[in-house]
Amino acid sequence: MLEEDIKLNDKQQDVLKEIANICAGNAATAFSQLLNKKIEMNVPRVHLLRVEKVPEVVGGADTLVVSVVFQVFGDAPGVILLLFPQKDARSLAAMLTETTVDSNIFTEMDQSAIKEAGSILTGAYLNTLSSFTRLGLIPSTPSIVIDMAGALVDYILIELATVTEYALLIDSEFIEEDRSVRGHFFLLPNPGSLTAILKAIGA
Amino acid sequence: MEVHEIHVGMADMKVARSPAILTSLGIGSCVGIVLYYPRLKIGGMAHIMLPDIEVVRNKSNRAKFANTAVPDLLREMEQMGAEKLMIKAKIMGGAHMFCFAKSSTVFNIGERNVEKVKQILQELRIKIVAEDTGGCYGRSLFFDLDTGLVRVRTIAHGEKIL
Amino acid sequence: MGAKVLVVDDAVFMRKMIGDILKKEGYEVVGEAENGKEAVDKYMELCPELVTMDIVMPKVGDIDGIGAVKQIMQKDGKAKILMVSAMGQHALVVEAIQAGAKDFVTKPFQPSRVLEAAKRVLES
Repeated sequence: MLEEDIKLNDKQQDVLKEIANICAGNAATAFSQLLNKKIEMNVPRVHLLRVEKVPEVVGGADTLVVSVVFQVFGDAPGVILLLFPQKDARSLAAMLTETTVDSNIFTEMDQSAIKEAGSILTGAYLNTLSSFTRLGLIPSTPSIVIDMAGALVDYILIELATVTEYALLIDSEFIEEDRSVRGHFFLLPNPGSLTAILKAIGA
Repeated sequence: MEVHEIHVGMADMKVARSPAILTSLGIGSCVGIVLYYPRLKIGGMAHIMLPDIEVVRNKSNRAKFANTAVPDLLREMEQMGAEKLMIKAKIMGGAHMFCFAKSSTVFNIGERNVEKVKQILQELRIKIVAEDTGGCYGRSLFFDLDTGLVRVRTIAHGEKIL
Repeated sequence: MGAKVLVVDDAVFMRKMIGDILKKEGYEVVGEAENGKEAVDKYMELCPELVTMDIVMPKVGDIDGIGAVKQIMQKDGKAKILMVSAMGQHALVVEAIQAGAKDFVTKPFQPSRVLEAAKRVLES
């Protein structure tokens, strides 16, 4: 099996951050139109770390999260992970479905609404990345998982672990104006895809 | 007195003697295996990601793979005085986190991990006395070396003592 | 009574959202479908005047959103279909229009966008 380690120099990290900033900016705009609220963003972070350290970066192995997961197909395959704390996912669902936040149960309608929000963020993010890099990037249909962060990511990391020791996570945080919805958007390019992206932007 | 907790991360393994609790959190398609030697209350836990070390080039972390982590765990316990004949195993995890996921090479990875661990244990002639595997949900493990019991905690599928 | 509409989307949330927007404006939502195959069946059964069609849906019986457009147009050349797409699906939108869809809206949308597009399609 082909094995490929991810390497990044400082300049490449900066370029990735800048691109992530623009992609996330467009995603935030789309998200804000959906919610009809202002969305703030933190400066994206680029994490390059051993695969087994990833659960810590996504909030802790046994932290309960609501997650929307997409596979990315095309010229730079990878995975997109959207993570919300349970309370924030409830608020998001409530805003979208115009219901109250009072329970801890996610109805089919709630889950559908959260997936749709995920699709809109992902569509806008990838669309921007695609027009920057001229790479064709197509998201899968979304999957929603409500479980421990570690259990959720290990499935994705196992696939990665067969080809590399390291994972690259491009992390953008979205914060709704009332602070009731904060979510993390992670792009995890496959090792080969990182090379393709860097090459496409000449970094 | 608060019992000392020893954390076993992803692709990690630890061996200890009572009093101690070995924990491994958020296991999805990975497999958590515990070995226990009751007479001296020696126990070991590994959080395994993949079945086979032979298929990867970088073999630096033996705790990541079923066919290296299990024998290593056994050896460390034997070095502490455990006798193989009396060691029993319990296995947990190996879920399909995305039950709807279609044809993918990793679709069955949870199952493949479980199968491989069982095969290795059989080769080593270690008996499996309890198992909680499969399903579509994550598990956290708390292995008490005083009793040899493992508390398996989930988010929406209750708690079990194995 | 407003025009009869069939709302097609794999996401129950989107069907409700689009349905609510249209109902408020007096349209009659006569049916919903969650995949391309169901869309074709319901079209034949309900004869709606307008169809809103999601582009990316899981394939059922090998029919996705665009497949459904093709089949509906084959059965009824006068069908009026409005595509609903997410950003970054422009190539698919072009394909859908070539297959006979009349117009499209991009998610996320303001209610007014959907209503304008629905009106345009019905008048086309």
